[in-house]
Amino acid sequence: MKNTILKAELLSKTYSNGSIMQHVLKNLTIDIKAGDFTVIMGSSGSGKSTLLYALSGMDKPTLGTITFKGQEISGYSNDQLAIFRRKHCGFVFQQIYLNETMSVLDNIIICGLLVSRDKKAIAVKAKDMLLKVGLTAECYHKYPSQLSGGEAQRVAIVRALINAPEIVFADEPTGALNSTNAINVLDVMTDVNAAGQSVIMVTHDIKTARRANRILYLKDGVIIDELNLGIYVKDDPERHQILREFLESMGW
Amino acid sequence: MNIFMIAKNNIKKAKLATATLIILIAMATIFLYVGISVLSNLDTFIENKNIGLNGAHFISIADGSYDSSIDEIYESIAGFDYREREDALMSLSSKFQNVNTNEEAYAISSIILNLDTDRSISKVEIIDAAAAMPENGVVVPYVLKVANGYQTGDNLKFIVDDKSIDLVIAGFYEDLMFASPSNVSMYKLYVGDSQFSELLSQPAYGFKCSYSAVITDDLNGSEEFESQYTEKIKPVTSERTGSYATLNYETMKTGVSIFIHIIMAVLVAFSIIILLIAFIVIKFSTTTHIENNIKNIGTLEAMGYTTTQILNAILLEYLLITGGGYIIGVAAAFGISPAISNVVSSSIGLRWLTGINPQAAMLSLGIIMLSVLGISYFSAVKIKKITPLTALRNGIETHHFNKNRVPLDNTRLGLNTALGLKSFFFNKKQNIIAGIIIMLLSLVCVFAFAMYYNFTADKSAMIKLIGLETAEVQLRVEENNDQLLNDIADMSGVESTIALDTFDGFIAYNGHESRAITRITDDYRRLKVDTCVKGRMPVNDNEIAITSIVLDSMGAKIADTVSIEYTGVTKEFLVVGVIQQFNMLGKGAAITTNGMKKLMPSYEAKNLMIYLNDNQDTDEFVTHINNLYSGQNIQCASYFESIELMLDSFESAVKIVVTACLAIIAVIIVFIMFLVIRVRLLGEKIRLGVSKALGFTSNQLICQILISEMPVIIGASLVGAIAGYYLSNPLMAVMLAPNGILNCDFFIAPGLIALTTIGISLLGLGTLLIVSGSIRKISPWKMFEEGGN
Repeated sequence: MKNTILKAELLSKTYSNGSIMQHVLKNLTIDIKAGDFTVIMGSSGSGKSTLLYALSGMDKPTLGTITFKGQEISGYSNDQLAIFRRKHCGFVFQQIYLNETMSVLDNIIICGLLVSRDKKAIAVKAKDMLLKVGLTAECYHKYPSQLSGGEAQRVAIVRALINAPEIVFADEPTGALNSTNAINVLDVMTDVNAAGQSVIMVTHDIKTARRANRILYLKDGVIIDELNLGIYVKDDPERHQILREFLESMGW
Repeated sequence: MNIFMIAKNNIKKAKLATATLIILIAMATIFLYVGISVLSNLDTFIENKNIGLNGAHFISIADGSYDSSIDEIYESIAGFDYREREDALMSLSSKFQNVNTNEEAYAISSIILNLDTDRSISKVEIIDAAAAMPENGVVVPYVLKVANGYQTGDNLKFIVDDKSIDLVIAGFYEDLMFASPSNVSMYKLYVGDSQFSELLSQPAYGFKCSYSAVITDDLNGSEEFESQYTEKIKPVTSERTGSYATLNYETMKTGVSIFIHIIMAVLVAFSIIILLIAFIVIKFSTTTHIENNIKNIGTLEAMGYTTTQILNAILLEYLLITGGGYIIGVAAAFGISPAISNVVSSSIGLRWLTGINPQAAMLSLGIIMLSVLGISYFSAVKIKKITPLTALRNGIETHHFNKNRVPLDNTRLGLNTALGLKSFFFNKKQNIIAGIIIMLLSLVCVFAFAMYYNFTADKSAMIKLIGLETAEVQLRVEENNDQLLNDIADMSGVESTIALDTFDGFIAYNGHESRAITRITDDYRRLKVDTCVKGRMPVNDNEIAITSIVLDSMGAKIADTVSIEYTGVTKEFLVVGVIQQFNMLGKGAAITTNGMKKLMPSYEAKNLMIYLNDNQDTDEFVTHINNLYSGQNIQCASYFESIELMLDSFESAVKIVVTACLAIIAVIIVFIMFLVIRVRLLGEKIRLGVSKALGFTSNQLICQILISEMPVIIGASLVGAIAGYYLSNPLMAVMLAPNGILNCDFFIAPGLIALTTIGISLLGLGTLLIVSGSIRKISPWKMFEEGGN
């Protein structure tokens, strides 16, 4: 039985613009188990990204609680949330968001230094991880604009993983990549999960989603159903079919 | 969409830069307009004022026994029209105290005239006249109202030694000749008939003399008229006594306007500095605008707009901003016109009213508009090289291949420091711009502080610049009396004495002649104020040191031989040094006592400068001397005090100008830092959002901004302050160059460097903290969602 690492209870998020109120998340309750690869899917405007940002402590819910390993984080101040994120979370974004003014190595070390002061150890670890995602020493001192999209996203993944976070949050990490680069990135994410880290990913793409062992489907701010796909097995046509049928039943 | 719409849109998108520019241009307009307006009108104003009052072209004050000779002299000078003579009471050791304002009694010579005397020259038109002239009423110079805050009805104590009379101010008058004590260290006062008679009957208050006001055919020939008069009166008055003073219109006009010329020149220079800052902001804003909107520019080009149209839209944008700033500036200039009127009036001692000056307004508009458009054009002209395809595909190249100056894997710095320094190097262009602005402002700040200190707190450097000695007491004897002079030198309380005379000399070289107030003393090394700026002071009887103004006017230089003509005797002198002095319009010279004896063998010193010990009260000493030698025809008066008083009239003007400059410097620094950080926060919104998402706290991000900006602020303000420390005196000398000032020796405390740096740094720090504090309010994902949009 896996332990719950992250839990949201009766989570609501409402945006107001003058007299207009928009309820993006509505009384949503969810458990994320340690080691799970969870994918959040849903149509545009269903609240996927809002849920991801709320779970990661990047945004505060309007109502409800979020607990991480039994500790409520929804009441944290902004600075406490920042410290929570640096210690326990990693982030991968669709737009990559590497710091254009820093070298590849510095982009990673900057995150490592938030948790540890041992620069040399962080640098060694960063280089090691870069090698693991297929980026050689040639890339260390390049700037983001000198990398391909896939290379940049792999650097972003290494950045997300440098502090060995318990959960990696990914918002459409392959959305801006071509298919070859997307596969490379997803392989890295799968390896990360296989190593024991939890992954929570938002995606529109069925090929991406099938990497997960758990699919949550969101509609109008509510999780209307979920699918348990089991451990990812490469080139498993049945897995793909099950997912397709699930999504079709959700009106995908 | 036309170019007006594009320009309007550009303005809307850059509200902060627009606001900053409008404020800068408004400030530049205020200073430029005021400066041009005053400078262009001052001469005409003084001229019209003198014509309106039928002001004298020449004034002589002399012993009444020479009246008939003086009449003959006047008649003999070409251009003489008519004169009015009247009795006056002259007091060289008078002191005054406004009882109502609780001021301390101060020493200044005075000449008192009868208000009830009929006169057509220099008519007395009383300002703020009392409802009824009190018996002890006195009409005083207008400068006392504007510079010293005197009011009609105030009690003015007139003190001579240990006697005093209470007078009541019954109004103020204007007269160019006696407009300001900065020009003539003497008050001309008018009292009623009975009061005048009473004063004349009491010799303790002064001596009776003849006051003559002259009108000539040529207002601009008054200097020449005075020269001829001086030449002709010398053989008439015995041993150079009896002719107490002469004043001419041209010298007085130049004299009263010198200081306000300097002040206005400072304002114009300050407006140019503000304009330079505005240009830097324009360059910075235009580059940022083009970089941020390159895709919009590409789209407009794709739609069919020409690059010229887009460029014109940018020019129109700055035209509108400049127009807005200019209108605000001119309106503000009108708003502060009472303060300007006060500054000018207190400097020139005449009632100046700042009105609307269309020529100055148009000239300011032209200068500002043309320069802004010029700099905007050169900043934006690169748009012409951008094709729609390159704009839409790539935008302007923003890749960064710079050297990684702070590699995180090697640095020993803390994370925030390292990231702050990275940001510092990355934003170097922006930092250089901000640095130059802060440096300039810091320099101006030190200059303003130096002016303030030396004009108001410790005036000794200013006195040195004027070229006068700093002796506490001046003693004048009508006949040379060595025993008396020696007795005084030996008195207790006297530190030292030195005989220092002057005479109105005419120096000639190579057919050119120039007038120079020539000093005479035995040993110039004994003077406390060294006015020599090149070469040395005269030592031998055939040597002379001359001011650069006189030398330049004759085309002479050091090592040339000039001649001096005095009462028919002409002798040659070798120029051994260049001296400088602010008084007498910079026209001065210095020879030795033996040198003077070559011109006038019977010459004997009659003027003694007395330096007192620190614990000796000047007033007590003067009273003691006057009482001790009451029957011996001597005049003893406070000297240093009267010079200080002369400078007091500048004080309020300098205070206003310096305070305004410092306030504006503070506003500019706040706005520039506000602009720099806001633009940076907007540009780095995504990076900041990602940093927050990655776990950086707001404090860490603010700390990084401080680390990246504070070195610029501290460094630039320090460099500016050091530059100010070294350049303030040369800058002041440049401003005073028309008066022959080559070197300035204003005291600038080294601590001022630290004070200015700390002040500007704290101001910058406060602004940075306030502006970058906005990072706290935004949630991380919103920051880069908004930034990404």
